[in-house]
Amino acid sequence: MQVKTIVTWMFLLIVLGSVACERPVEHENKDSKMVSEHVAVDVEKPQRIVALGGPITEIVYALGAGEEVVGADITSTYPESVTALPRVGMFRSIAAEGVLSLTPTMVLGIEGVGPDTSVEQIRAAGIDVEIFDEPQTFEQAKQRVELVAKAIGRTKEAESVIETMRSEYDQAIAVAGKSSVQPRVLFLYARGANTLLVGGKNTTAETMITLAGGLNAVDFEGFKPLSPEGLIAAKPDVLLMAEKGVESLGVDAIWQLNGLDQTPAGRNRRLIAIDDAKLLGMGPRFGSALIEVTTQLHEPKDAGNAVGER
Amino acid sequence: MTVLAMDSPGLWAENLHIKQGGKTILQDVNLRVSPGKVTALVGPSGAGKSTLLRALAGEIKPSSGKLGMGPHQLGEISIGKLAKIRAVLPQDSSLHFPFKALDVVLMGRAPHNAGMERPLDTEIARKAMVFARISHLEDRDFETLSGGERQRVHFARTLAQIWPNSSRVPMYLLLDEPTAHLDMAFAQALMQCAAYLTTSNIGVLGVFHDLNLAAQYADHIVILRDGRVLATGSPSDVFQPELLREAFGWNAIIIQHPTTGRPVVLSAEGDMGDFAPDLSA
Amino acid sequence: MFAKLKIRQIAASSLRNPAYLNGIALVLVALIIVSLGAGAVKISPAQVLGVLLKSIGLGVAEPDLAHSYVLMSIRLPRIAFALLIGSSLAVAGACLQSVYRNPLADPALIGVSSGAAVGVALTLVAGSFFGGTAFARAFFGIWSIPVAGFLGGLAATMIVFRLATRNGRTDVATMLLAGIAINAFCGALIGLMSYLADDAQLRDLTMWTLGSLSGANWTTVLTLTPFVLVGLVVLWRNAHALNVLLLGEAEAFHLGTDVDRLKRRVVITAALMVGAGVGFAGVIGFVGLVVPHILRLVAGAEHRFVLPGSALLGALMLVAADLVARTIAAPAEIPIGVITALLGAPFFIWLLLRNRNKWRL
Repeated sequence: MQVKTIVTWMFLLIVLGSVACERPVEHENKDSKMVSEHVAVDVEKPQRIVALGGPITEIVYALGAGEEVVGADITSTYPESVTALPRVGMFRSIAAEGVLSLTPTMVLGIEGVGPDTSVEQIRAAGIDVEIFDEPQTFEQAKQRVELVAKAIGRTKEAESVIETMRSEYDQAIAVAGKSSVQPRVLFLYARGANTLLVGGKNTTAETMITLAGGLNAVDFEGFKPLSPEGLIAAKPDVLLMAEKGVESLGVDAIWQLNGLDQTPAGRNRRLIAIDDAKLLGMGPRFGSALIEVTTQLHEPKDAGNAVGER
Repeated sequence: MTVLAMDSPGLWAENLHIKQGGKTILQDVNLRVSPGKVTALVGPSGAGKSTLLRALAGEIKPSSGKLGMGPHQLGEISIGKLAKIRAVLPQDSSLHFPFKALDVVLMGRAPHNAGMERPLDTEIARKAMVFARISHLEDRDFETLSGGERQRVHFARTLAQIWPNSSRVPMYLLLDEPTAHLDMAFAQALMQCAAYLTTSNIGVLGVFHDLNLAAQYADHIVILRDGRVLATGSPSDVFQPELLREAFGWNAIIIQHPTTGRPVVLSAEGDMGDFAPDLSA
Repeated sequence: MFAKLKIRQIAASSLRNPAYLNGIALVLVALIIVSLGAGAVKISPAQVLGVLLKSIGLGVAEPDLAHSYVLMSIRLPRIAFALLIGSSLAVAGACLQSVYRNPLADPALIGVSSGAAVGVALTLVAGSFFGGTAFARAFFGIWSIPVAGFLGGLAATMIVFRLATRNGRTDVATMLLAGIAINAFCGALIGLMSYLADDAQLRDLTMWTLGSLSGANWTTVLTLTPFVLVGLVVLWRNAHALNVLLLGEAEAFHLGTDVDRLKRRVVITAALMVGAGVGFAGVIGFVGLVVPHILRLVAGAEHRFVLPGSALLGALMLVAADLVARTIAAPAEIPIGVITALLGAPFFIWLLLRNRNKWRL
């Protein structure tokens, strides 16, 4: 009986507590939005930008605003100079005070920046926090560049960045169009020492494969762990991997994966390895990444060992 | 507390049966622990002595039959009320946490003060420690005490729970092999304490392996064998060679104590009784 | 007047070893002050004082707005969070050690942590298959993770408790084994979830299992407060019964304790308290195990010392750990569970070695 009373009381208190607290929080948010719009208009002074997420950082640098970046998260590794900046942790688990300590005027983040409480606190401190949706297509990738440019007041610079992206993209599509075959490509993603995941439908990897004139060798949704039988059933002509994954596993270990020698990719030793951020970021290097994939897919210089190429 | 009338018939068991895990431990046991008397429970190992003691303490519910205190059934009396008038000294009490000896004794006052110790409680606890001859251990860590010292601390704890019984309401002290870890002098001292309690209307029930200790201090002896009462009566009534042979399968000689006049049980020399190994094969 | 005096006397006499408790409280206050001044944003002690005085209407100078925001809206709720969670973990640990009569028991033993982890993992990962995450988000908003953690923790504890209870009697040995089994089962579910998780989900799940106080704001603090306060009061009121329970269940019964009711009350209260904290802050290990231990070594196992002591020392330990977590890698943060284990484990081993002769378990 007493236990029930305790439980009832606790629930009552939690309900009261959350009801009492709900409103001021919303209010704060509205306030901060007004503040942030105000800040966004004021683009004359140099900004102090904290960039969260590799692609966002790349876009900011590509727009020539690298000088204004005062901090970034640990997934921001390109260009090289960004690594010298203060790091505020991983974009999914940022600390509000850590970001605020860099006295930014603006925080730009990739989709998934969190935790929500930290984002709220940064906003409540009057800092403009802009989160950009993850692009699914080339069009959206260009749009993201435009949106970031608008946020930091560099719409002019965006034109040339987008122009480069477009010309590289067209170049890649042209190469793909010339090819008469549609190779089956299997995207392998190394997570940890012993887990290899396969990229299925609606993944960035599939977008890149399709654009490059290949066919995703599997048709399930999202990522799934690799199994020897699944590997044989997928019958890939080519493996696509992130460079870091190849490095951590070692090329030899990849060719020794169970079942791989039963596939065309294994027999012909065909592996395309590309820098992770470049391949999957859908940032300013979207086009050049696509050129790399397309070229290696349709015009392999050295089918035996594609890994050495960069 | 007044509901337990002065003329109550003590702590009792009536046609008590206890089954545990399909096995009958006690059957058809009738027993009375009278206030102001020392009752001793003796018998061979596995006879059900400890089970009977725990049943009388209220720990085990009867499978059939009745357990009671005064005019009430034991189950009708609340746990808290029972704790004010009945103390139990278990055979083995392990405590793996650091407490001072005095703190352990003070726990005996828990039923009376609901956790808020009054100066009176400390006074009673100290008195109990004097009585149990362990005043010098007061500030010692319980874990560092010897087996015998721990036993005496627990004894003092049970004393603090029901003594001094100034209201002279019938109370009960249940002792399960209280002298197991004690040397002769301390065993005697403990039993003298227990016997002294009877003067303030406390009924003492003890489980004993040492028949002579039982004979020396008990007013009433119950011999238990295979879960049944084999004999009850005064020490001189039940400590008879035939009864002891039936209970323990061992030949005993009974002599009379030169000063107290109570029976003294000796083993019959050279006779292994029923335990004699069969060497014919 | 007289009645008031009497109540104060009783309260004072029921606390044991007040000197130690005052000492810990003093260090805690000092640490809170240090903690307020330290962090990624540099704020001098004078400025801290300025902001604090201003907030209670005694300000002389107008403090810097940014500083005042960081102090009042980030650091202060965070410290309050550490106080609440630290004290609830340590007090729950102390009480469960008494229920199990084993100084090595820990809140995790009743399944509350792993149950909470399953709740969170399901919300983060499996939810996306059935649109559950979206549903939970729509319904609970940013509360979906804490609520899932809380409910998961409570459910696991109730299962453990039910398994160990027969005819109204709860067997502690069975409860221990049931706890181990439920923990293993939960571990398997979490393994399955992390196997199915995509990278982002896995990252979130890992971060949650390592614990963090960065979710602290006044709303979460106010929500957690009643759980912790009610829990502390309920457990404190059973302090003496817990002392007696340490003698053994039979002995506690002889001394007038309704042992089964006590166990039920303590286990459920601890689960509510810890579950609420775990939901918000993730799994923070070691506090519940180490803090009561240190106190018992210093001044004995009397619960009227160990419980208030655990509340204070647990709070102190977590405030300290959070201070390290948010300053050592600033402007980034280290998960607090990592800190408590990194600092707690060596200290615990040192204690064990020092007292090797005393403890023979």
